Amino acid sequence: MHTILLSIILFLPLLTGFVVLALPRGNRSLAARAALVGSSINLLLALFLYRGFDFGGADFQFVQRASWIPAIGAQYLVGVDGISIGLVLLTTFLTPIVIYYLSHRLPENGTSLLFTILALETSLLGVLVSTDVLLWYVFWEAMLIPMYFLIAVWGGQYRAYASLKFILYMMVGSLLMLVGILWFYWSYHAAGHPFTFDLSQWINLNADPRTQLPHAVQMWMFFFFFLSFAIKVPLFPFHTWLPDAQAEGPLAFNLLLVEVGAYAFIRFCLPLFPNASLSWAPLIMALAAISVIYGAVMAIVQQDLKRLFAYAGMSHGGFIMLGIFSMTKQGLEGAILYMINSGLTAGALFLIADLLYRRRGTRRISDFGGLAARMPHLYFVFMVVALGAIGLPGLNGFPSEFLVLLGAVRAGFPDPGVAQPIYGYLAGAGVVLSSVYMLWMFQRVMFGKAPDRLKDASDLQPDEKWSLWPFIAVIFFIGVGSAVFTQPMDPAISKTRLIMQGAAEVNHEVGPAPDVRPESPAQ
Amino acid sequence: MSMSSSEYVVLLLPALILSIAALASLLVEAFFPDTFLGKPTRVGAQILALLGFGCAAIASALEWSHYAPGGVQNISRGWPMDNAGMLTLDPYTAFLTIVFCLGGILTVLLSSRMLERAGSGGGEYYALLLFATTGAYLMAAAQHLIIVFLGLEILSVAVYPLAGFLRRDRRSNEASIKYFLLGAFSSAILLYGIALIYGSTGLHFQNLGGARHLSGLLALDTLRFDIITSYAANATDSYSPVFWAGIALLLVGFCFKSALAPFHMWTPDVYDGSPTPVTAYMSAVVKAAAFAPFFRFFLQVLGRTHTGIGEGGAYRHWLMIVAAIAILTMTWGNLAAVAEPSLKRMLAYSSVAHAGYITVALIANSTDALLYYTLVYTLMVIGSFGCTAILRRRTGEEAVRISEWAGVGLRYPWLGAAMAVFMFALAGFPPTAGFMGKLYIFRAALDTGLASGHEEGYVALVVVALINSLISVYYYLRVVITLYRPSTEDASEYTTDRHGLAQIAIAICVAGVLIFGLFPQLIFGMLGRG
Repeated sequence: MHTILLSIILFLPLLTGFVVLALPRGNRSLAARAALVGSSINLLLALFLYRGFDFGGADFQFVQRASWIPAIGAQYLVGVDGISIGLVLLTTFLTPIVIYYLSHRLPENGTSLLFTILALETSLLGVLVSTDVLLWYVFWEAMLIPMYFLIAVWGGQYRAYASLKFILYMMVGSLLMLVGILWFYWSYHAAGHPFTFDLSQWINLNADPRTQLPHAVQMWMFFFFFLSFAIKVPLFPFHTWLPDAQAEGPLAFNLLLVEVGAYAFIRFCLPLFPNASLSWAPLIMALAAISVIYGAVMAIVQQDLKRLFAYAGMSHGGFIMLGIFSMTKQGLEGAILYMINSGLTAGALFLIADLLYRRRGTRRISDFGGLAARMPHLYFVFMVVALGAIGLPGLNGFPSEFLVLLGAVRAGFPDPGVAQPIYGYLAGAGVVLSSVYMLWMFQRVMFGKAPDRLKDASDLQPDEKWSLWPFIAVIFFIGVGSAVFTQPMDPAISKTRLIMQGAAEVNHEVGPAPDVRPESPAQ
Repeated sequence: MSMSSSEYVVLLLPALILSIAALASLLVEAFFPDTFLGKPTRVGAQILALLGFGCAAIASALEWSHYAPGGVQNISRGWPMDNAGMLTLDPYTAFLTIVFCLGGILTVLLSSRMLERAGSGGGEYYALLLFATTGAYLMAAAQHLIIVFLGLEILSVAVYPLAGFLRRDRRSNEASIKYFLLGAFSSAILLYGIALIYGSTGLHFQNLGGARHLSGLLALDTLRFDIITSYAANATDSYSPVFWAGIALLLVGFCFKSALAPFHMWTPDVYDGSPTPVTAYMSAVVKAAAFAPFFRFFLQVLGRTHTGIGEGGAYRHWLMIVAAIAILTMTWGNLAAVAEPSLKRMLAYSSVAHAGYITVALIANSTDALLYYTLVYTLMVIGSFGCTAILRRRTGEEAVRISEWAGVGLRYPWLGAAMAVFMFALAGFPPTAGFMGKLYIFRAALDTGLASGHEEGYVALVVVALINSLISVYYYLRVVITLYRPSTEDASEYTTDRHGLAQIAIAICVAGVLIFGLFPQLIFGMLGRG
């Protein structure tokens, strides 16, 4: 059970999807119920996985290994560690909510929609748990297909444009990354190992100063990976697909746009190319700080709720990248927690945007107003989510934002000439801006005079409430008990940081750099 | 290695089976105009054709297991050969023959409705398909340039009338005459190349002291691949310009047949005008058949293992030329496909681009990559042309403009899903086999490059190929977008022309594309790398 549990979690959604397709056509509510049951069981299994997870282990757990393509050394290899388990929980948490919410509003071709959502869940989970790089790449690419269909079939007015733009952006990165993967694959072989795509073995190559690749080669390989992930996050200036995709994409797309790009940075870039990561870090932190501020400023001026939330997501992506490339313990912990929070916040916000759209037929902020009096339930929920997003202490955003900023101002790359805390301070300004866009939007939607057409807007329906309550519960839970999530991360993060430490010593040959000295836990 | 006469028969078995089936399906129509064994003759001829392809494939598979327990080896090593050195049966031949027969079977399944419309009994159609496949087999098995030429002519002469099979359709006639003129032209170029090679190798062995070297060899044996190889390997200092002119002409001839730029100009017109099942056959089987001797000859004769030619000398020049052709082909095909409003012409240009990817496998010196890609490409391209043939206007003609496909995915979910699978596969997305095929080629190219110490060139080539893949994503996915866009035209003008057999063929292609994509080891293992 222990070894196969992860594979069950991985493939159960897809299997459910096939069941949904096989059910008699036309009975959409039956299909929705089946999908809901399947994805809920998956959530339970993921919780079960979390219960069995060893918080002290730095290595992959629940590992399952099977032969896949021995001809080229690729295996079926899955496992979770502290970095991925939180995101696995997030993904399995979001999917049943999406399905539950949509089950009352299924379009004509609803069974296909359900299948696409479930296929997307499997590919997302595959990206999170694969530890064979080729297998991971297959999931990473395959993930684009359901995402593409979500926009292209169930998207808004300009869905053709948005879906093509989305997929072309993604493919630019992915294809270059394929070169990087093959290059590393061959280099690992050239170092005297058999051909393999096993990530845990690949990590050893550059972690050891005696075998590591030349710095220039690492820089190029890092770039090939970086581009793909930076587009996915998205990091300024690779972000322009995001507002279009988010605004045109349907709710399922909005919710399931989990932060796998940032996850991939921690999973691949840092441990595979530690020396190059250190060299690239100043540039990436600068881009991250720009993303934070640019995203926030753009969010302030948006007229459309979904576009506003999309730019808010970009700003959040900047925070996450800042935390990762601070390479401090707090920064990395905060970044991973931030990925989870960003998924939660975005999920709730887009859900609210969707239910507002269904009432009013528009997403323009200026078409709303005075909803607080008519929709008290929504008022409460929306407020909690918005305050959580801007980092009010006691709600989910605070611990992650605090940890990231703490890590960012403490980041001093092993290059004493550069004053690194500047990016942390810049991002701190982003926190202020985030309050501006969120609260101003909240004020315009919720207060003031209600337009005539909103006079009879009904408050949250039961199914809408039940879709939003879980978000509220988790937002409060993370706000007070973030340690539940950060604790399992520590061993895996320490392992990564150990590699970085070795790289810092090689890069400068001056002993441990100030930023990678062992630190006391933040909590 | 000497062979008994029964072994000669074994060697020729696939060709024999295919030709006998061809003759039988011709004769059955003549002798049983109405019914054959209680079935309409049309069905009888079809069953004969399917049997012929199936038996030939089984024969190849059996021969493979008998002759070549070791799996596919590097192509530049020797094979079991018949006495006169004309044919060889190795895993390379056997695998390709199976792919050709698979292509033939799928084409037969797709063709029924087209034959009904053309008012044909099908006998001559199936006979031509079987003959063409016989030629393809000879090309794959050839160890001698004359056999290459014979195979090519058998193949081409059968495909010319197939392209013009819709006699009353002007565009089909145009396709046929264009294909014939350019095909004849390219055959002549190829033949001229063979003549020049014959002249230079023959002269060489004569000068070396004729009798001693040529003892036991007929004069024509100087066109055997192994003789040419030993010529090329020994003639380090005195390259005959005539020999190289011959090689260049040979290259041009092969480029014509496999539609490599800049000799691909006929492709869109011919693919567009031909009946769609024939187009599917041409872009899958004919192309693969043209690549078969192309790979074998050039890897064997000019392969990098021949120190006589040397890394720095002619081999590098030759590699540069082929790399230039590959890059030009990929880029030209993809860029032309971007702007193409017709689905059939778009697929034609895309098949040009795919020929470019296959050429990268040639540069990478990897027959495994070629074989896997050939199989995968056969499934993808026959599937996509098969889908193309299903949607029709009520007036009868096929809906080949991409814009006519608007909303098809919404009206006919299964047709749309199948088309989407093929488009994603052609664009190279996992988990389809299109991805694994490209991955295998690129991996082979990087392996070869890094092993040879000239990795910059190979990495650059792979990057160019990947950029091309990116371009192709655009036009393939444009089709997918169209499938799920509400129709702007009147949907009632269109109907689907479903036929049980065609649906089976498409289902086989979808299943193959997905299964070989998820479990490529099924094929890689067979190719002997497991």
